Amino acid sequence: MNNRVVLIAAIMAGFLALGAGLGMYTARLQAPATPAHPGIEGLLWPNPKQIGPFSAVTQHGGNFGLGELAGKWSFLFFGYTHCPDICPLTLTALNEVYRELAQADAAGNVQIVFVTVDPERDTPEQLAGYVNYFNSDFIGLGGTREQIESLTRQIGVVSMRGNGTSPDDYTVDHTAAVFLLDPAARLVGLFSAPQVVEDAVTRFLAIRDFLGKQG
Amino acid sequence: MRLTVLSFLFLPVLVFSGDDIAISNAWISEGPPTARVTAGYMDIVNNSDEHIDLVAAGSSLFERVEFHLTMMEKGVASMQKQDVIPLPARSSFSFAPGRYHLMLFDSSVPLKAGDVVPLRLTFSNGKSLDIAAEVRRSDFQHTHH
Repeated sequence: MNNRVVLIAAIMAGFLALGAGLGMYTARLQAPATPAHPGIEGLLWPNPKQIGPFSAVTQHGGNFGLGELAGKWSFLFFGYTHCPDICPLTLTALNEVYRELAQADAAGNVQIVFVTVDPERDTPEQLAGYVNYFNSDFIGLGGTREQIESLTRQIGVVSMRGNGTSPDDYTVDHTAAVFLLDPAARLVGLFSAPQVVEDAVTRFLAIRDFLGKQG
Repeated sequence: MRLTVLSFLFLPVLVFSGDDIAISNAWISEGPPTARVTAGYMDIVNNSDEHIDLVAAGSSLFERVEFHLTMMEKGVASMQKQDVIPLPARSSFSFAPGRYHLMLFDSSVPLKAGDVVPLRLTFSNGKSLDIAAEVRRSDFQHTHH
């Protein structure tokens, strides 16, 4: 008898818990996090991913981690210096974006960061010659493979070593999008390849404006 | 008369033409000084009634030249080496940024915008064509259009 009461009570408690869970679930479905997505293409909202600690090495040999993202809008592009087509195209486009933002007086706290997915060949010296060619304000990041992966894993960047004719001569398949981090190091934007300069400028300014209004 | 000669000398688009094949707009990306590879682009027209393959490219200034295609799949870019570039009868083909490109390995001299690079293109009909490609900064399209 007692056992039956306990069993019924347990089943009822189970249904209550299930009901409460379902209720919370549907409440979340019906009332999305405010404010709603404003319809800006490329904006990752709501719940942008918070980037955590990582460490990498700049083309000048300095350390670059989470602290260097703080307070700045960062455009991140992942590639490698033995990439003759899509990487120069993207960095050229990012240089145009940077130039247009500067002309609009909106580049003050913007940094353009090129992260190698081929750290074995892309030493800081190799990165320096490559990145500075496009713009000496740009930051090139290398380091050990573990260091690079401490960042790529968080952002969801894919890279795979492809075919080559010799051990030193291979291609690397890699995510081609440009990622935007806000001054709180949140991943707030994804601009798919190929980059269109005017679109990137417009979307960035819209995203910055939108997030500025969220306080 | 003199003007005609001058305008010929400063013809903006150089066209290299064999009996069957015509090449125009050949250029090579200047590229960063530490890049071991750079890309080349051009337009090809097959004026003949025969299917012709572009089977090889070479340059005295580069160790080797390959044909590559930049592919984009699920947001991931990859480069696929192409053995030949098929040129169907009476058709045209473009090597263009973000798509097909010549991949030029290990230049013997540092190349600067304005330099001219000799290229030899070899075709499946046994003919070859010597052309000249100008080195340009890759942002020239933006600054000059």
